[in-house]
Amino acid sequence: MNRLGARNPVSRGLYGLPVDGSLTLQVCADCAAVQYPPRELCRACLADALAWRRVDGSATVLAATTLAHSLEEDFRARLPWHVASLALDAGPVVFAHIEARHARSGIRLRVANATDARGAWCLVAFDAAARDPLAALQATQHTQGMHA
Amino acid sequence: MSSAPASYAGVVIAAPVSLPHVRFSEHGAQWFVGGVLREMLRASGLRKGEIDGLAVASFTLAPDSVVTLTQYFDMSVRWLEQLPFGGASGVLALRRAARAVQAGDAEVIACIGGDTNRPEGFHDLVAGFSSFTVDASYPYGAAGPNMPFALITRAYMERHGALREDFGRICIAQRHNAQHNPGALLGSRPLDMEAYLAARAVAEPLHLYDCVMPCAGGEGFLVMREERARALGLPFARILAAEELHNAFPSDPIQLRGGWELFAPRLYATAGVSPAEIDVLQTYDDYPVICLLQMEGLGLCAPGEGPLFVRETPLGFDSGGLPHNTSGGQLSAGQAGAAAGFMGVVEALRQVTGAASGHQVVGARYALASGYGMINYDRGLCSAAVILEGEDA
Repeated sequence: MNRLGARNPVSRGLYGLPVDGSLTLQVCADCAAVQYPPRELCRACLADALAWRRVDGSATVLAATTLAHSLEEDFRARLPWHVASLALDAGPVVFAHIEARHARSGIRLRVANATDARGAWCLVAFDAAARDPLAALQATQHTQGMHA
Repeated sequence: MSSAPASYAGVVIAAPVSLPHVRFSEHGAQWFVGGVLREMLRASGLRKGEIDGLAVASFTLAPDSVVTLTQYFDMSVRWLEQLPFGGASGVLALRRAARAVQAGDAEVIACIGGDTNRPEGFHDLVAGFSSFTVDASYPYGAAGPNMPFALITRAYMERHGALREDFGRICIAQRHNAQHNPGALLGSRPLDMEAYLAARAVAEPLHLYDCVMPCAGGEGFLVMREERARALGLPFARILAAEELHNAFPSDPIQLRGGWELFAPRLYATAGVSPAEIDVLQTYDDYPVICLLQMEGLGLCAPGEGPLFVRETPLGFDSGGLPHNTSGGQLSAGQAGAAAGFMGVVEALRQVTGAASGHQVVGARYALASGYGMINYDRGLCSAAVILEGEDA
């Protein structure tokens, strides 16, 4: 049973996006509220007016953890695994895959769309200050065993 | 502030039941819910036909529900409630049942949390826990609630200077309590600080003893009018005050407080009891950091002073400090799904009616039981609490 590849139909707009370091999330056409996790209605004004839009991926790490245990073999084979919660400047809090060296509260990273090893959409955070951000994103993906 | 809840005067809680926890079970949730019902009938002397209300919380009952259970148990009732509120379900069941009894919608309500645990059961539960979990939490390491709570614990440590030893104090005191409770799953395994600190990492900064062991079990109590409890000769407790609040502080980027602090002043004022008069505290202990959030939110110490509080306050049932999670809590008795959300209320009732045998707090009169539940994404959404006062029939 593939529990990891599952995503809700409402998140279909996160498939097929360019993996170029940019971030696309739902934005309300009526009130401009940025949404995450994906929804069917605006979290703020409840309008049925959500559209997939590019948003600013700049974010601050709220907290990071290094997982030494996972319920799924995909991850067990690659432990320890690093994830963080990040506050996007655009508003929402997201969980994202990170590199080990970024497991530090308070640092600034950039969140981007990506595709995980199961071919499902995911979010990654990478070093926005790197000379070559795209290479930094690819490095993060490589360490996480993702499709580039 | 919002309107104050009306008094719960005249309604009482009685007949605490806890089935012994087991790590795994081939039984269904029906077996555990029905087992609690059978034991509360035995404890109260009531016939099944005298139960006219049923409130059930269970993560593993599907495709059955509280109404299909009425046929399963061959009983007719005129009031039903199902509570998908996890760690807050016990306090919430009590609040709803008490109102129904006050209003005359039912006379005797059985409130039960019961869950089985099959070998893959916990995995299935957390992988599909909610729509947000599926999209935005589980894919990030498939660690279940360990992941968001590792992040909350990390943020709490950094914000308030908490050390692993502070969480260890909570876990070790509960393990001590569990050693005096034959029903506690881990009661036979002592825990000291050295072993706590040496445990393997699970999701840093969480280590083995910070994480509950999923198990199967059942917990429950009866709600009825005080006259009825007296007529039955049942020890009972009065509900001095009870409150709940959900998705409090939605703008907080990470959960370092719950809804308790927004209702705690009124909770104590309504009860006519101060935090210092609480004899026994039962918090929802899925992770020790959440115990600290409840201690702070419920005014037992100031916000952010949880670490200092547990350094200075012994928490064992026989410590003379603030007896906390006196049955061992989930951290030492296991987390039996939604039944874990009933543990605090059931143990509080047992303590204030002098029925806690080997882990009884001497002279316990006022108990505070707190609920916390439903990790939808990055935080627990439910906060609840009740103050009980014991009275022997």
